[in-house]
Amino acid sequence: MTQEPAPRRPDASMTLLTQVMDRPLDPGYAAAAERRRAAGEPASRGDRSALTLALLVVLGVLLTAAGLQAKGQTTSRVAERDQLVAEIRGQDDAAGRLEQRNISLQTRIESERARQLTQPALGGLADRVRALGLVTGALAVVGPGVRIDVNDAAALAPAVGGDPRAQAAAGDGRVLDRDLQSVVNALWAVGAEAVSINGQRLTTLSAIRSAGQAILVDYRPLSPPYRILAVGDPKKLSTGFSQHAGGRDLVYLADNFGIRYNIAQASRLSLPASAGLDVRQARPAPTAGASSTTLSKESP
Amino acid sequence: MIPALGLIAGIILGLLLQPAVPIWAQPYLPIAVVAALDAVFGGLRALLDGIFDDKVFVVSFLSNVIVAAFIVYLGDQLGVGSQLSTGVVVVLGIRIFSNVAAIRRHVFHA
Repeated sequence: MTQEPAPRRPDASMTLLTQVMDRPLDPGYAAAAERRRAAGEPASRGDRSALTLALLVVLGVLLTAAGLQAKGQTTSRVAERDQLVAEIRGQDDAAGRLEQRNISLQTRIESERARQLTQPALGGLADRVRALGLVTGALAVVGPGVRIDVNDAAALAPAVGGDPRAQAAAGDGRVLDRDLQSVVNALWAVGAEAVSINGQRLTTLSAIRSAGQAILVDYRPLSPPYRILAVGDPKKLSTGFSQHAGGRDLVYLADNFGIRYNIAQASRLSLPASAGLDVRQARPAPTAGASSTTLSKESP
Repeated sequence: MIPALGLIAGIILGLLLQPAVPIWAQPYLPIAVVAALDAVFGGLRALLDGIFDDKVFVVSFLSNVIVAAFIVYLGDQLGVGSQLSTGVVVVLGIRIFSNVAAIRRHVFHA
């Protein structure tokens, strides 16, 4: 009588998963043990054989190699990034030092020139130079005025290491160069005598541009918040500014894009001279009988 | 005891020699390590069950490593490298957990 084949298990289609979970031990061990029991030897061969030892040594080397490889990759990436960051900081410091030196040399030139200009033969040239220097940004200025702080929208938190393209897409709340341009133009129009942004004095040749996400004033990148100082009559400046189109633009930006701003009058503002002005033309000053000639700075 | 000393000796040897893994083998090293660990835990469980055989241990070790690396290599050539390596890691992980559970029952009677 033929035997009926064993009834199919209900989970026969899951043999793969059940085998993986129920038989994790290699069936070779059981088969070898059966053979040894049949031959009368003890079931376990013991773990003292040289082959096992050799294999475990190989395993140790393999584990160490994998661990060292994983560690080596992360440390080299971190080292590269640190090196780049240090280089950026170093160059930034160097640029700042050069600018400081520029400013100090400029003051020396100014004092030399002032000394020359006080010669009586040159008449009112010294006063003219001082007045022009105030307006063009060649001289440092102290006086009353207004302080306008403009900042990006509060929701635009800077993401460290974030994707710059994603940040640019969410840049609606970012202060743009044309926003600063409209504010500064409005200040000049209502009677500001000297204007600076984040310590950069604006001259008659200053450009406010953006490159990527940074705003450049005279090719120096600035980061928010932007502090705009304007020297002039504080009341006239603040009322005139809010009535001017530039002031209304600022209110529009604050209402629609969340740009934060704050206007305050100040009784004493100190604006530095511009570090970026240089002599472009020179002609000897007309002298009446004096034996020395002086250079005069033409305001471009 | 002696096998554990062998493993420690292997680790110390690796730290001293600092073997530089060739570039072509670097993607397969992690999966080879997991496959080797599966074979080792299987051998440990067989030892505690009383049916350890060193020939089976060696064969299972080598075949696990080679087959796992081969499957990952095949997946890379076919373009499904990450999926296949995920599958291999899942299967090996289940086996490692089952063997470790059996070892735990032997060692702690719990």
